Amino acid sequence: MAAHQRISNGAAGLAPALAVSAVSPEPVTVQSLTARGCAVLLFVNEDCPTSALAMRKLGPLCEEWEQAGFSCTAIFEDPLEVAIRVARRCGWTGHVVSQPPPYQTSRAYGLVSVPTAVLINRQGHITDIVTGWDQAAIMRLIERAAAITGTTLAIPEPASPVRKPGCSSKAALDPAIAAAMAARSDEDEMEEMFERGWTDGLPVVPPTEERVEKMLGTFPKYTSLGQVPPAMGEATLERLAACAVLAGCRPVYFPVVVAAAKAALDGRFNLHGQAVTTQPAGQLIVVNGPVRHELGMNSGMGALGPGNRANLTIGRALRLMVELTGGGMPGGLDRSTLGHMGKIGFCIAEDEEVSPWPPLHVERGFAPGQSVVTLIGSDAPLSISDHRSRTPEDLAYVLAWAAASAWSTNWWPLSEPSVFIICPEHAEMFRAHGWTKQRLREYMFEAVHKPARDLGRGETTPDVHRSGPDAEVHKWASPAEIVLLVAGGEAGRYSAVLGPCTGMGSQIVSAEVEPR
Amino acid sequence: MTGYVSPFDDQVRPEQPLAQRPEQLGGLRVTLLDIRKNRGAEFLDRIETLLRSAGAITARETKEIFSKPAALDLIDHITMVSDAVVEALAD
Amino acid sequence: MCDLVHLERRGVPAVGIATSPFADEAIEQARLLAMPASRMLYIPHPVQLLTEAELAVRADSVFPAVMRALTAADGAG
Repeated sequence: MAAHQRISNGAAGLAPALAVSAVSPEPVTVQSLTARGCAVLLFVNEDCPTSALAMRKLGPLCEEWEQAGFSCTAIFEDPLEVAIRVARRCGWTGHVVSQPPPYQTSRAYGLVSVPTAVLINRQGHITDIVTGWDQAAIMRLIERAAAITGTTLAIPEPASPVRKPGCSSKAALDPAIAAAMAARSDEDEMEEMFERGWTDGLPVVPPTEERVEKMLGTFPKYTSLGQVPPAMGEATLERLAACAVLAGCRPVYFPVVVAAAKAALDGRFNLHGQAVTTQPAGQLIVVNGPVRHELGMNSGMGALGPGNRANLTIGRALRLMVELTGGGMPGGLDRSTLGHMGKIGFCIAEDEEVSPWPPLHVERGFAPGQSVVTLIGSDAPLSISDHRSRTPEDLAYVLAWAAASAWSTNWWPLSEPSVFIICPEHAEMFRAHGWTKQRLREYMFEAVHKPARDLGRGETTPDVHRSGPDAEVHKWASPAEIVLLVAGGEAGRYSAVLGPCTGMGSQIVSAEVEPR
Repeated sequence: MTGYVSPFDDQVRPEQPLAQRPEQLGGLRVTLLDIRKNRGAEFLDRIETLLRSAGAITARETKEIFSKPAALDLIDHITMVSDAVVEALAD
Repeated sequence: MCDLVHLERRGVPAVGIATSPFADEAIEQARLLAMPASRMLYIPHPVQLLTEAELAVRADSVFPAVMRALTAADGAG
């Protein structure tokens, strides 16, 4: 007989034992929860909007109730990390516990639906049950708790909805019904991808076996490029091809995706650190060499923005590998406080033809005719306008000082790269005056310095603390921290700088693109 | 079945058991592993004091960088010289 | 979390201490590394701006749980 039937029959049974896990290692028992008076168990699950409503209504009151001896515990029919995240989003300030499938505790309590609130007294007897959201019934439950504890308990604000039905408890789902509910989503492939969690928040291309085979081409499907942190999923070429399909890549892009994945999984890049940090770090892919033209990549107008399938989907394929195969999903293992839109995907092609200088891959030791990807951990672009400088010195000064607050206002010097993307009109200024990349780099390095006394406020470095107040501190530890690329439309004097990913020893890593 | 290729590594890894625990820490070697985040060293100083009061023999180690798993040779070394480890402080 | 799992696999009891916002990430990571029983303890966040005395109080309050996590007292391993 379900627990609520026992109550209505006047037979208040003993509350069944709990088989749940919590953040704290101490066991959670009915006895521990009712020790100071009484307890309410609120059975919920992640998929149920009424459960979220109940947690939002009651959540803010839990701490106060706890002090009065009335403990509140949300029992989730979901994994513990999911429970913690959902509870946090709903403003639940009570205890959070999780039960694994097949949801023994929900079964023991005879649950049919969630949310279900169960009031238990100090003797361990169930004294009230409320199913769904029912304001009047919840008020009654709280009054009963108040009577048990002999205190006055705060009540939720009366507000609509006064009543709202709940959803099926996972314990009550008949396997055939569950299968039918899953099958229903097959009607819409796009929605199914969302339900499976195979997206970055945007629609994806379903990775059917046929599409993945075409993407792989002659690449051997079971060859692994290594484990993708933080979940350490194995990056087989088949899985990477699935990510490339999901991202919307054409098969001809896949060799670039493979090269990017190899570079990203190189230990020197420290993908692990970037995937779990609170920093905004994303993985910038710079593409050099003939492959840019073969794939129709964009290094011109709008080079950092939307519009080009190759740029966007190659960057996205790598990020999906990190988010899905690697489990580094924002809000989950990816703890980036703000993140940035480049974390959807950030792949750019350098405009080697317009650039007056050797391109990035040649600087890094590759031949001009090799197709190469270079991975850099980086922050979002900051635009730098300069339409007025008439000398290369002035322009270099403006570009360099734009980066003065990259990472943090007074955190000088930076030992990690700042990536400057110089637009063609700006590059032309340096070309016309015969400035090499190295000369520009050194000028920019020298231009940005301040006395230590001007860098003492707020977050600053041990270097600043150690320096005498008049000692000059540079923005960068050396000119080598300044990375220079050329890209952008031929008209308009807007360059950009990308701040670094710091403190994790991430090195810039390049990999050659190998044809199929 | 719709025949999709999953981007996830769905291989079920069998759950691994924790190491055997000693009855108590008196006379045993406890390594305090500092992950090098700010305030971690101070925090571990206090934990070290408390461990010594409980009779443990303590040692300190530091990760080379907080954002990567510890290098295998550091883990090797710690394994050779420790009966237990406290790692802190992630914030 | 990876370090704790490595150590446990090598037979060394280990416990990690983090501030509370890390809980869901640590739990998920432990499960993905196939050692959901891996021991993490949490202290309130933030810690960066605490005085030395306040930080010591946090250490003192989590210490009993540290002892339980590293010994057979709580019925582990």
